[in-house]
Amino acid sequence: MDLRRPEESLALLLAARSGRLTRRQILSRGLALGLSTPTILALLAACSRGGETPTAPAPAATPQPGQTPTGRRESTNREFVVLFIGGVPDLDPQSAYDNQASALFLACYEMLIKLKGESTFDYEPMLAREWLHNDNFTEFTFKLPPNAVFHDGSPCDADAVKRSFTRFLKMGRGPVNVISRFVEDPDQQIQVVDTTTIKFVMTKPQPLFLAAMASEYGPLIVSPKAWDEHKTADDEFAHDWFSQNIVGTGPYKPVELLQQERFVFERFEQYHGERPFFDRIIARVVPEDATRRQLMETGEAHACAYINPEDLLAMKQNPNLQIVEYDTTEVDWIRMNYARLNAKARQGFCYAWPYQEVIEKVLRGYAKPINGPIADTVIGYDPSIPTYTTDVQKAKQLLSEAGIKEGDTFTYMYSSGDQTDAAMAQLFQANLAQIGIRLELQQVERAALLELAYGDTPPEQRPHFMSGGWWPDYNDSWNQIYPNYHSDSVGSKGSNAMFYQNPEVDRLMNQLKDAATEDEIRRLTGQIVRILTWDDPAAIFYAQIKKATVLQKDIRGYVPNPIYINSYNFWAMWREAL
Amino acid sequence: MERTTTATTRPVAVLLERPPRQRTLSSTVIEFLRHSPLNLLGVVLIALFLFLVVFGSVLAPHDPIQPNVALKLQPPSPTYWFGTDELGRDVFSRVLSGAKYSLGIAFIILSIAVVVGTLVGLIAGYVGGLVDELLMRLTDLFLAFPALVLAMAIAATLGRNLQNTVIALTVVYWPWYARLVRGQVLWLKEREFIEAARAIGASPWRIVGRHILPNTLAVIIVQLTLDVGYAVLATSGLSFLGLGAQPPTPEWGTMIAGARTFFRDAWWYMTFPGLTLTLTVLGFNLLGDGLRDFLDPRTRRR
Repeated sequence: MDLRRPEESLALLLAARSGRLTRRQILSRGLALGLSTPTILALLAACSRGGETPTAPAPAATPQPGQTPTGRRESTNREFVVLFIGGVPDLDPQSAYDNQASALFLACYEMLIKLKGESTFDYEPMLAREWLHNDNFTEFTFKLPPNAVFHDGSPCDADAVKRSFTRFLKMGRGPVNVISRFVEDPDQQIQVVDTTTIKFVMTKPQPLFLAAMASEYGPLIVSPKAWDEHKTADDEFAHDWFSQNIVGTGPYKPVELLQQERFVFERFEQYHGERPFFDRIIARVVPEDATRRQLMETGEAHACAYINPEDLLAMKQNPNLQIVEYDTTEVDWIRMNYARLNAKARQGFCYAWPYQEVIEKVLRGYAKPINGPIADTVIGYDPSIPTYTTDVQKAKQLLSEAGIKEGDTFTYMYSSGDQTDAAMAQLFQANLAQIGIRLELQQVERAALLELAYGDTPPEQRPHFMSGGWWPDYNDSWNQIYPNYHSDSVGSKGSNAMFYQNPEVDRLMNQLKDAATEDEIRRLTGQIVRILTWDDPAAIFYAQIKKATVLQKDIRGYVPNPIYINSYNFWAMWREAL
Repeated sequence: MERTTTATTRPVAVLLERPPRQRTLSSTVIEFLRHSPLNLLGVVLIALFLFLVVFGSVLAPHDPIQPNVALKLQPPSPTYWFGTDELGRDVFSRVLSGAKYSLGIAFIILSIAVVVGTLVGLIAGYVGGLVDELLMRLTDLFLAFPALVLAMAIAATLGRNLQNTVIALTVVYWPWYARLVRGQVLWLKEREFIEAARAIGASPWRIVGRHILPNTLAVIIVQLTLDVGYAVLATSGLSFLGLGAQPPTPEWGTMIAGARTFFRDAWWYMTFPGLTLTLTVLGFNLLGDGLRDFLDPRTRRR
């Protein structure tokens, strides 16, 4: 698409000014038009209805944190029950790289800043009250509230924040790359200015640092006092203790942590910020799809982000529930084994995938086509890259050019119990059967699948296809691609589970890491995506995911965010008396 | 030969337990069916499902494998008697074609288990001594674990497919037959007609093959009929857990597992394979119970 289309940009600006479009729509349309981020930001500023969810039928009157809500009819029921799909084995926020763990952490731990409303590049206070950076993005200063304390009663001052980040970076677990990309040496680069002021000094301009600081993966502040009390000779970071206990600064403190069953939090009375509405937050682990739906329909649970598309369509008819749908930064894909399939074969398989059927009939519209690993909500998305469509004959031709004969068998591995995956795999199987290729489906336990994907099994012993998906920790294309398709991330070193190793992609990705301007990010990302999708395909990129969170109809103030997928803004949510 | 064998074994058994009345096979069958209406029901159900094992795939009105998502989750109708599944496949056709997997596999499992178990039981019981001791401790080893848990462990270790389901369940079932047959052998080998055979110089092979084995068959058959139901359930159970048949195989357990997600909105998808499975197990249990009662002289005369 042409980057310069003044009439469409003008139309977009007018729509934004008149308040007809939401922030999200402006963002996606602006990106589709190829507008630069500053331009889109200006458009968003013009949008008068920022932060509200258009698709949400009810969550109106979102109170801004720090502002006393007036005139709202509050319910006397101040308990909030959310449903999880599985347990959370690791509760250490500086180690867990797990979507559900993050949802819990947003109740009890805090980052310094968080993403504002639905935006992926506007921020608002979390632990820090204010922040500023110099013009060339090399120094970032955060101002902490004087009254911040941890759940264990110890003060959360600048020194505590520095120690927390030091632990995170030196421990080097899970999501450490989110911050270590910017801060390699915490002792030198993190400076305590005074008790409530902390400064992060970069070695080069880092315009994405704030985005990373707002990630729900990693930069959360833990109590250094608890760390000191529980570290041992074998475990200097007290990771074992933190993986089962919670001591943060968040609005809720833990009462009961049964990691495979339920998590109970109650309001932390010394919380430094606005007093939240709910007294208790309970997260229940309910693995069975049908049971989660049942609990929502009977009103025993109040929110669930894990409802399959088929159930969502049925639950939409229920007047007691509200379904909040939102676009995300998640792209789902089928990884192809780089060591066992040549480029022609991988291109052929891309043509054999049933794109339309999967999006319409399996994902039931909770997805849309995408042209690579970068969602259209992520900076660097390039709309000019074409998207695959199903063409079985073309697939046949490419596969036979690749040396694949009729009757050859390939393996597709997926996690047992995942009906969505099972359905997609069978449609793919049927398409391949039309051209005489056999696809053998292998279900394995989720744990075994993760073990295989993130372990050190050589690629020759891995299946030909494995399904997966990813969204970035913050709005950045490098952060999305690097762990999945850089040769440094193969096997147990990252998430490059099918050993994709293309030197040109590596070279471009290393440049992208240091890209200073948005044009450069856009250009390099486009080049990388073109290779990953077309020239030397890494995966079948079949859908950008649309999510939905189901809430009881009396819940207010929920605002979804395309980066904080499946999480809740507990601090702003409340229940109306109906 | 046949005549001599029966002549050697029958007098003792007949004198002890049965009135000396000549019966043909068909008269026995008729007597069995008359014995209880449930026997008749069991036989009819089994006959129906055995028919499906052989002809199910041929009778299926639609392709049980090929998806057609345009028709997904259609309720039962004159075209699709049992409705369609999440990929638009006809559930009726899948249930028909599935018989050969669910039931066929159960037969294979039990055939192997019976052969292995009987062999082990015969050897242990007849040879006795150290051999008996060793073989029985081996069976104890297998019997010590809950059957399904052991089968799950084996299936999960070997890999998930129907072949490994067969191996896993065979490993679980043979010790029961070994125990059963050994007990029978211990009882039989002290009987007069065996001693008589031994006295006239019959070889151990002949004694076991011609005299002992035929006398254990009745017990084995009763146990077998009772077990088919369990084996069908276990096969489907493993498939339900994702350890057995893999999609798109129309195995009943796999179908039920897949249907679970859609049960609230598409009752037919889970109900029909479930009902079929229930009727199969019911049929074999009725037959097994009926046979047991029929062959047991104490209950038979009541």
